[in-house]
Parts: sequence; C-alpha cells; structure tokens
Amino acid sequence: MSTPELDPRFDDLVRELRTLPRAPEELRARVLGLAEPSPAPPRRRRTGRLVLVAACLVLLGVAGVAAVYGIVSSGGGSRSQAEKAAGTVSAAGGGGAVRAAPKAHRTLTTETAVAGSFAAPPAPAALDSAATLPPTQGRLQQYSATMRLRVKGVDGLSRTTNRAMRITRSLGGFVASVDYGTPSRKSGEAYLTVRIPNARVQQAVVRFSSLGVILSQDISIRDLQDQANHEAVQIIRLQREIDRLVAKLRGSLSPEERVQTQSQLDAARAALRARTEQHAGTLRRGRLATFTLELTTRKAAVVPVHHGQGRVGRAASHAFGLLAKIVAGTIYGAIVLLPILVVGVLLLVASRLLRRRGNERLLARA
Amino acid sequence: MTFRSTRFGAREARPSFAAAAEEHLDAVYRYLLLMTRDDATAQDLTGETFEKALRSWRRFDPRRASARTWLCRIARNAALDHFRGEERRRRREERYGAEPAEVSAPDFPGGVLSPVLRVALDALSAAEREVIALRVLLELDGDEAARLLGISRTACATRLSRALQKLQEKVGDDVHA
Repeated sequence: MSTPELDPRFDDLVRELRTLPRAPEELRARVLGLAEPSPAPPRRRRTGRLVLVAACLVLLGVAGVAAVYGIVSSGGGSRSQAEKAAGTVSAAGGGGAVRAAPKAHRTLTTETAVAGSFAAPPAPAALDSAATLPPTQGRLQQYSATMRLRVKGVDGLSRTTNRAMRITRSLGGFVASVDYGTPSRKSGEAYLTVRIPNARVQQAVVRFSSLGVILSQDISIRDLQDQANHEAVQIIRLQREIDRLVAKLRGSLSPEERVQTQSQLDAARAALRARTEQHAGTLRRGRLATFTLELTTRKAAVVPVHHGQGRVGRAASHAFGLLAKIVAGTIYGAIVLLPILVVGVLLLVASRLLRRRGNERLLARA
Repeated sequence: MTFRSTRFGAREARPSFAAAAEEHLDAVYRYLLLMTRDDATAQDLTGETFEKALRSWRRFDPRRASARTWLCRIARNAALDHFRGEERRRRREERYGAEPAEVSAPDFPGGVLSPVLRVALDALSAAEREVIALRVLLELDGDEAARLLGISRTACATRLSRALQKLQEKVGDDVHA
C-alpha cells in the first residue's frame, strides 16, 4: 500500500517500515481484557447549544424579574397613593378621624405637572383630590394650602396675579401679602398669601387651579375645635372668677384684703383679655383658610408626568427601569472584567504555546 | 492489516471501546514502538494508553475526531510523559555525578527491520520518527497528522519530507559503508 501524498522515491523505505510487527498477543489480551465501560449515550458536543440555551434562560429570567418587579412596584405604588388619598379624604371629609385625633396635623402633598396651554388648562388629577378635601362643616379647622403654578410669560404673571387677587376678593377673602418680582424680561415670580373663608375653600381651590399649570400643591388641615373649646371654657371660668372678685369687693373687707382682692381682679381681667384675644385668633384662623400662591414663569420646575399613566404603563416603566439598571450593571461588570478576561486568555494561550514548544524540544532531543 | 482513516469531523457511528481497541491496537503500538524504539516501553505505553482511553471513553466524540486520532493523542501524551521522565532521570543522574546510564540499544522486535534501517532510525529525532509513524504507518492524512502534532499542514509535510530524506540518506550511507 502506498500513500498518494508520499514521494515515490521513499517507496522502499515505506514498504519496509510497514513491516513493523503487530502488537504482541500478550499485550492484545491485556488491552482487550480491559473492562468494557457501561454503554452510555455518546456525549454530544452541545457546548454551543447549551450556552445559547443558558443565555436565553438568563435573558428570560431577567425579563421575568423585571416584569414582576414592574408589576409589584406599580401595584404597590398606586395602592399606597390611593390609601394615602383615601385616608386624607376621610380625615378631612368625614370628620370622624379628625375627632379621634383632633390635634393631628394632616397634610396632603401632590406634585403634578399637567400638560396643556395656559389659556385652557386641563383639570389636573391633583385638583380632584384637592377638591375632595373641604374643611369639615361644623368644626373649627385651620386650612392652609400652598399651590405652585406655572404661568406663561411675564405678562401672564402680571395678569394672573391680578386675577388671583380678584378671585380672593370675590370669594370674600382678602390679600394678606403680595410679593411680585420680574428679575428679567422673560421670567418672574409672584408670591401671594390670601385668606379665604373656610366655606369657600373648595371654590378657591378650583379657581386658583385654573390660573396656570399646577406644579405642586400642598394642602394642610389642622383641627382647632378642641383648642377653641378649651379657650372658651377658660374664658367662662375667668369671667366667673371676675364676677366673684367684684362681688367680694362690694362687701366689707379690711384694707389689706381689699388690696389683695383688687390685684387678683386685675390679674383675672388681664388673663381674660389675653384669653379672649387668643380665642378670637383661633376663631379667625378657623374661619379663614390661608392660601399661599406661588406663580412662576419657569419651565424647569415642571415635574415629569406620572399620574397620567395607567398601571400597565407604570409597570412597563418600572420594568424597563430595572432592565436598564441590569444592562448598565452588566456593561460595568464587562468593562471591569474584560481586561482580566483578556489577560487570562492571553496567559492560557501563552502557556499552551510554551507547552507545545517544550514538547517539540523534548521530541527533538529524544 | 489495513486501517480505515476517518476524516476529522466526518460522521461516524460511535464504536464500542472493545471494537476500537481491537481495530487500533496495532496502530497505537506501532506508533509508540517507532517513537520509543523499545518494544517493552512501547508495550507499557500502549497498555497505559488504552487504560486512559477506557477511563475517558465517555468523552470520546466521533464527530470531533476518529477513534484512531483520539487514541494517538492519548498515546502521544503518554510518550511525552515517558520522555520527560527519562530526561528528568538523566538530569538527576548528571546532577549527582553518577555515571550516565547506558543508553539502551534500540530494541525493535527481531527480524522485522533491517539493521541498516534500525541504525538509520536511531539517527532521527523522536519528532521525525513521530511524523513518519503518523503518516506512513498509521496513514493519517496531512490534516489529521498536523492537528495531532499541533503544527500546520505545510510544516507537517515539510517535516515528513525531511525525515524521510534523512532516513534515506542514512540508509544509503550505511549501505555504502
């Protein structure tokens, strides 16, 4: 037999080399006597397929985790918001919760940015929740609201400021303070503190909300009824004390007793005056709501809209957020690990080359 | 006996270990005999090769390489380990000032090769004898032999040509002498 690739000049050599003997029978018996391994299915070369499947599983897992995270976080968020809003509304509207904790300071903060033109601002989502927060009828409550509104241009700021003042007067209130400033021809801000009768609070919220795009809204309700009642009781006691002291002075008293009683009467009258003034202030605070209006022309203050999204939208947004974080982390890890990986591969290649060269040298010497 | 050479990557039914051993035992033995030039060593290494092959038979994939190539790779590693051990032994003996051990004369089984060819084979390095064994005795094709040796096909062909040329010259010199 001759190999076609071999030079015919070496045919004799090749022929003689091929006369090398077969393996001795003893060796043959030893090798063939080795135990036959249990038949096993051949191991297929599935590394590439396994890597592909593993990568798909990892991607699916990441997507699943992101989806679950998005659904859970969006559901929890909306629920907590709903609970928060519901709790506040019941506290303010029902009155029962306020009676249970009359001195609790309840605050609802909603930050909204409603897209729309200044001329015809749409009814913001926060407006509805704010409108459901009227002061409780029959109870004395301190109602304060801070509204930050965006208006269009300096001219719009001026018009809106005047309009807010007109609204205040039309609602039976008064303007406590106005701070209007336009540092440049394009931007400006105005701060108004107005007092509105509590009975007109709902109307005030609606009308002030229509002045511009709501950027933020902070409504605070504090129950003053117990404080007012306490003050009233103290006033009655002081009046009784004064009546008793006056009656005592009309009787026969020694000069020392008269002086002492007169000083007690003066102190009681002073206390009554102070308490009465305090009570009047409490009643005034309970009758008039305080509105702080911040009008601005700055667009940078706009907060991204979240309230317009449904649950699916929020879930998708959260899921994509998580995916973005995972991708960023992966890229970061790859950037950090890549040099180590490259060095490792280079070392591996170098070691294999060195080993191969060592084998070559060894075989050349042997 | 003829051996069927299976191309790398060709689809081949997975043989049983016994069948593979039966078919390729002679090839492995001859390869190791030509590499080591010693019958006893070749027999030991052949037995070691098949023991290793048996232990890792599950990892053998006929789609990646033929059974002959796979067994030759194991045999080659066994031979390299043997040469390394021999070299370490020689260095140890030199370090301790011992008389260098007599290099044993080639111990080919008697009567199969002419004395001239035996002497000529002694003049070749193990690397040269290896390429002759793979290409001439085992009849591996150029690609398979090159892959086994870890060199390019061209380098393999060059090495084979030089080895045969050198062998031819040595045989010619000895005949003339």
